[in-house]
Amino acid sequence: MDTWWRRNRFWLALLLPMLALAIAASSFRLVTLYRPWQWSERIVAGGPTGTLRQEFLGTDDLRRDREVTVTVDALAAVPTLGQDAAAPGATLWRVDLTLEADPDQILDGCTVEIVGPDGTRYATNEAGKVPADAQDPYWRATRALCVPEDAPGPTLFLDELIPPERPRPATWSMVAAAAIPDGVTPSVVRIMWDRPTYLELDTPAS
Amino acid sequence: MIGSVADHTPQRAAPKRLESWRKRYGLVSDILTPQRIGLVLLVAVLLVAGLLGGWQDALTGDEETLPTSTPSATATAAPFTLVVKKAFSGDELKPAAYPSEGVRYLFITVDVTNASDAPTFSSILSQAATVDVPGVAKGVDPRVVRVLDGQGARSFSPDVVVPVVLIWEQDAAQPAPTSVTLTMSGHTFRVSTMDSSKEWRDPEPAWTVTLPVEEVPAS
Amino acid sequence: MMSRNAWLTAALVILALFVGSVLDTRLPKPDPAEADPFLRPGVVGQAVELRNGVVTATDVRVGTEIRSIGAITATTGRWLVVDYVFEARGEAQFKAPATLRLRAADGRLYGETPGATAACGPAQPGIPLACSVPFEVPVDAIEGAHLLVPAEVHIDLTDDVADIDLGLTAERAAELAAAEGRVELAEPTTVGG
Repeated sequence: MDTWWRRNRFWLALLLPMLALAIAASSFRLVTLYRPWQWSERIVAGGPTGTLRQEFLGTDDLRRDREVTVTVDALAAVPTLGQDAAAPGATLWRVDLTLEADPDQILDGCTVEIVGPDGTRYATNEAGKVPADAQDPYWRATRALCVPEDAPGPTLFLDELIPPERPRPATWSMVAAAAIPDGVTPSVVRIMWDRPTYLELDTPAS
Repeated sequence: MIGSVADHTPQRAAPKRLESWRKRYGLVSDILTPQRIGLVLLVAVLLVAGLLGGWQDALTGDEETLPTSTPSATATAAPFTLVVKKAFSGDELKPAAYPSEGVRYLFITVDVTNASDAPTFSSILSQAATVDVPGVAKGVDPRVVRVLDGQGARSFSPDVVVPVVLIWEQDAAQPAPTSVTLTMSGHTFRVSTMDSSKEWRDPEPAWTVTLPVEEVPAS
Repeated sequence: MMSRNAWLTAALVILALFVGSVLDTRLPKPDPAEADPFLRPGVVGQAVELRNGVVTATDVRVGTEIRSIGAITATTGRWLVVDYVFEARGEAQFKAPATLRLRAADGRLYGETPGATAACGPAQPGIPLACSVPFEVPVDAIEGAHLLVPAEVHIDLTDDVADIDLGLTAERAAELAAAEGRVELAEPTTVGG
């Protein structure tokens, strides 16, 4: 008996896969537009050393490759770091990093976060910090430098690439600190430059 | 029939012309059907009307002269209720305006009240106010400064009377004005056709007020 | 030439379109409930949980002037200052004062302060930050006012919004409005322990 169902069985069978494809195709914006503007690409180093590789668009509208190897040398609680201390009820955690990259890489302007066991990301900027000297009226939290101060390497200013005066060394260290509430013991460090890619590193002891 | 050729010729000449036109039309009648010709004519009419500005002019009618207000009278320029107070001209008015090379300032003091039920940015007030003074650039919105504390006005809260001074820059080479006509426009709160956000848009001149311009009082 | 059936079909289609479009303009539009924010109610002193943090209103102060970052801003109405504590969750954040609103009992909204006000942040997760936000209001808007604190930048997004009743009864409102003075806004400070 040649029913409508039988005659169209080929296309009926294809219906569900087609539906799935249509839904996937309509997620086009999520993949090409929304996710790249979040920190959505995670590189898990699986240890204290990892390499971040990404392609990014500079403010001069040129696409570049970024490759930098980062090592967590130490992550420890400290009473103060320079002029900074943690607010009452919090502890200052200091992270020492070693970075290794070609001198032509643009690496100023990174963000370092220290991550707690529940995934809370603690910023290493002025959040939760107070002056180590309570009487200091001019205190501003120290900004962590991602590249050596005397040889930062190439940098993008507005829409121009500024070449460096002297080459950046192939390897250098950086220090950052986050004020973390008492009782939280962090064990993971994140470092990132441009969305969506970030590098997740473990501490040496863990 | 046998008759004189002269009798038949006139009758044959008229149908002959029609015949020849019919024949010519017959050549193209499969493409240029009557419907298509009608359509082309319609499109042509629309095109010409559109190029000449459409039907807009027919709808708006004549330009009316704007109603005038008087200083110290309360008037509405949506979303604001305004009392225009005084006009001054001078080189400075601290802390709102400092002396600048080649610049003379025109100041108009206004008591502004936001009559809507949500904060309205001062840019709406600024773009609603225009003056016609030689030396004052057209299309440049005045600065809006709060009189009570000298701070730049950023937004106006509903139902709070805020005395402000509107500040225009005039080319100092032009003579200082002795009187100024301020035109205030009202806005409409509507949804944007592009992104469905609701804003005060479409400024339309609402009324004018003419003020004598005084010298900035020394103090 | 079109057959009689074709003409009839065309006429019916046009008639159907006409009737449909008239109906469409007359029918009530569905209330876009999916566009409403998620209001989280609370009162002064109560910790209101938002998606990305916790907001606790602590005090209401009223005056005719405020001083913030060294600048004094005056008003012909009143300055209503709400002190609150913001604790971020998940990642460090800011609460920009311009995004907070005061809703009067009759629905009027206040916000977008004229004067300079320090941003509330960056607040480190787990370290609460005490901040203040000023609103310039007419005296009649004080009674029954609510503070609205959005999770993100706008109270109209489909996101959490804390709706905190500031406990401004008629007597309290009159008492606050009667005081004329300067309200000092401190810089955001961490709340310890």
